Amino acid sequence: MTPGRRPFHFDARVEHASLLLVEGIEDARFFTAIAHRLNRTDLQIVTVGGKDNFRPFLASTLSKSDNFSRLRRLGIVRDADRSPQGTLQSLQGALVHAGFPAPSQAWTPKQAGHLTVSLAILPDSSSPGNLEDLCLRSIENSSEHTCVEQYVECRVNVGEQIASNRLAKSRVHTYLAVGRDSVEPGLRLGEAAEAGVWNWNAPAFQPIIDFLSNL
Amino acid sequence: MIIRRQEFGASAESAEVAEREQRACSSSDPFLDVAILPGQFEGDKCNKVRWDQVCSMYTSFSIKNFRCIEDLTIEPLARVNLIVGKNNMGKTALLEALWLHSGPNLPGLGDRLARFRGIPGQDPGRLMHDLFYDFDPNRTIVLSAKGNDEVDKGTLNIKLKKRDESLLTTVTASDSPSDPPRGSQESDVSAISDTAITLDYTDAKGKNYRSSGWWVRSEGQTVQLGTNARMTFTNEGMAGQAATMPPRPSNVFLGARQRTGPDEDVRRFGNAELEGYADHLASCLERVDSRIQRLLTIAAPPTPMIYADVGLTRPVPVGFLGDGVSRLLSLALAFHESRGGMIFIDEVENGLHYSVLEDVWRELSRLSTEFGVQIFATTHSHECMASAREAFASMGDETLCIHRLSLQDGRIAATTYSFEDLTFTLDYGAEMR
Repeated sequence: MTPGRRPFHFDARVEHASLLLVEGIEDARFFTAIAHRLNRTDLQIVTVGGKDNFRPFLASTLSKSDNFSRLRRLGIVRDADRSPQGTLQSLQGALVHAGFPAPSQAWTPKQAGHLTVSLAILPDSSSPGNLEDLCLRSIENSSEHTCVEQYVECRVNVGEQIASNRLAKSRVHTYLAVGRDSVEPGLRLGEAAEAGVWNWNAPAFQPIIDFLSNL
Repeated sequence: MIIRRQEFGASAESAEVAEREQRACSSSDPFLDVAILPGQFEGDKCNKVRWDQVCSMYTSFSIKNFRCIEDLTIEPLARVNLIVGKNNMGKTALLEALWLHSGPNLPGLGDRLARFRGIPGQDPGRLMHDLFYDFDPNRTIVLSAKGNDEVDKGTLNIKLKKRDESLLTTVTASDSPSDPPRGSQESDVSAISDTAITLDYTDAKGKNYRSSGWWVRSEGQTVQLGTNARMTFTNEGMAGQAATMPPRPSNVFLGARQRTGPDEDVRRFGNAELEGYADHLASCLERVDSRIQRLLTIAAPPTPMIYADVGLTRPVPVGFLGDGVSRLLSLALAFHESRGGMIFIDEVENGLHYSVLEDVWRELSRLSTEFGVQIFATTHSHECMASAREAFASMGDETLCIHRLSLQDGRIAATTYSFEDLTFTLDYGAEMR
C-alpha cells in the first residue's frame, strides 16, 4: 500500500506527546469528536486498521517511527468483545512484545522511562461488548432507546436472526437510521459523533472522557 | 625523492582480479569462516544451508566520525540490506564506510570516493578533510564490524596526521623493491602535502595492518598514492585489494551517478565467460528485456563491447538496450566478481522501470545466494522497497532488512525493520523512507 495522507493514518511520524490508538476509522472519528470537545489539539489519534493489528503496529511501526522518543503518553482503546480479560491480556502481550510498559489493568496508567501507557477497554473493564454498547448506554433512559429496543425486538419476533455480538451494532444503526433536525439519517457511529448526535454529558461517557483528558 | 609509484593499468587489474577470484574460489581462503565453493549455493542447496552461517557476513557495523555520521551502529544486518532515509542522512556515507572497512588498507580510496560522488579530485590542502565528521581531522574515523555470534570482523582507524620522513622511508621500504608488484614502475614524484592519511586495520586476531598515503605530484599530474596498496577502479565501481592487505574477498561498489565503464564490464564479462557463466547472464537480463537470447563480446573498433543477440540481423551493443539492461548486467557481473564478499549499490533502482523491479530483486537475491554476497543498497523508491518485499516473500526468503537513517536528537541514527516489520509496515501503508 502506497503511503500517503489518509485520515487517522499513521505515516510514521509521532506528531504530539500524546497518541491514542484505536481499531478503525469510526472509532477514530468518535474519539476525535471527544478530543475536540476537550479542546485537545495536542492529541494524535491513529487507527491501527483492526484489532489484530495492535501487536504488529506497536512493534513494527510505532516503535520505529520518527520522533518516537518524544512520545510521552500512549492510550489504546479496544473493544472488549466477548472477553474484557482476554482483550486486556492481548494488549498486555502486544505491549510487552514491543518493549512498552504494560498496565496491569485497564484505566490504570503504567509508566516506564519516557512513556506512560493507558488502556481503555469498552464498554468498561468488566463487561463484554464494544463502543456501540457504550453509546447505547448513553441513551439508555431515552424514548429513542425504547423505540430502538422495540424495533429490534420486533425484527427478532418475526424470525430475524441477529447474532448476539452484533446486537449492539444493529441497535446503534437503528438509532442513527432516522436522523433528526440538522442530522442526516443513516450516519455511521463516528460520523454521528462528529455531527453532535451523542450527548457527551451522559454519565456513560464520563470514564472515556476522563481517559482522554488524562492522556 | 624517489618512491614507488603504482600503476593501475588494465593488465594489473586483470591479473589482480584473476588472483582475487582464484582466492575467492579457493577452499583455503583464510578470510571466510567457511570457504565458498563455486556452486555451493546453487539451486535447492541454498535452502538447506543457512547463508549467514556459511558466509562472512557482517551482522553489525559501527561508524564514528565519518562524513556526516558522528556515531552510528546499524544492526542487525541481513543478507540483503536496503538503506533508506531522507536526503543528507548519510545513506551513501554508510555504503562508503562499509566499503572502506571491507577493503581496509587502501589509502587512496578516500580520493576515489570523492570522484565516485562526482567530485573530480580534491584540493591537496584539504586532503580528505571531508571524510571526517565536521571536517575535523582530529577526530579519528573508527569503522568496526561484527559477524555472527559477535565475531569480531576487524576495526579500521583512519587518521590524518603530519607526514614525516620516517613514514616515507618506512612505506618506501615496505614496497619491497626486490619483489615489485605487477604493473608497477618507479618514477620521480614529489610530495606536495605535509599531511598523510593513515589507515590502521586490526583484524579479528589482533594483527595490525597499516598503510599511509599522501598527495604527490607525478609527471605533472597530482595524484594520491596508497604507497603500499594496489587498487582497481572504474568510472562507476571499484574493487580494491592491496599487496599488504589482510586477505579479504572482493567487494564492488556501484555508484548512483556513474555507470560502470564498458571496459570494466567487458573485463568482468570475460571472466564470467571463462567460467561458463555467460548464458546465465543472458537469462538474467531476460527479466528486463525478454528479447535477449545471448550475450557476446565483440572486439570491434573502437573498443571491445558486450553485445546482445535480440533476434535482429546482427547483435546490438548492450548499451543500446537501455539503462535497465545495462544496470542489471553491471549488477550481475559485480556479483560474479564479489563472490564471498559484499556489493554496495547506491540508488539500486536507477534505470529500472518499476514493473521489472520485483523480477530484478528476485534475481539479485538469487545471485546473492549463489555467490555468497551480502548486499547493501540504497533507495528512495517506495516501489523498490515494496518490490523487494514481494520478491522475497514469493521465495519464502526473509533475509531482507530495511534500515532507515534519520535524525534523532540531532544525530543520524539507524532504525532497522526486520522482514516481519517491513512487511506489516508496507501493508499498513506507513512511510519508512
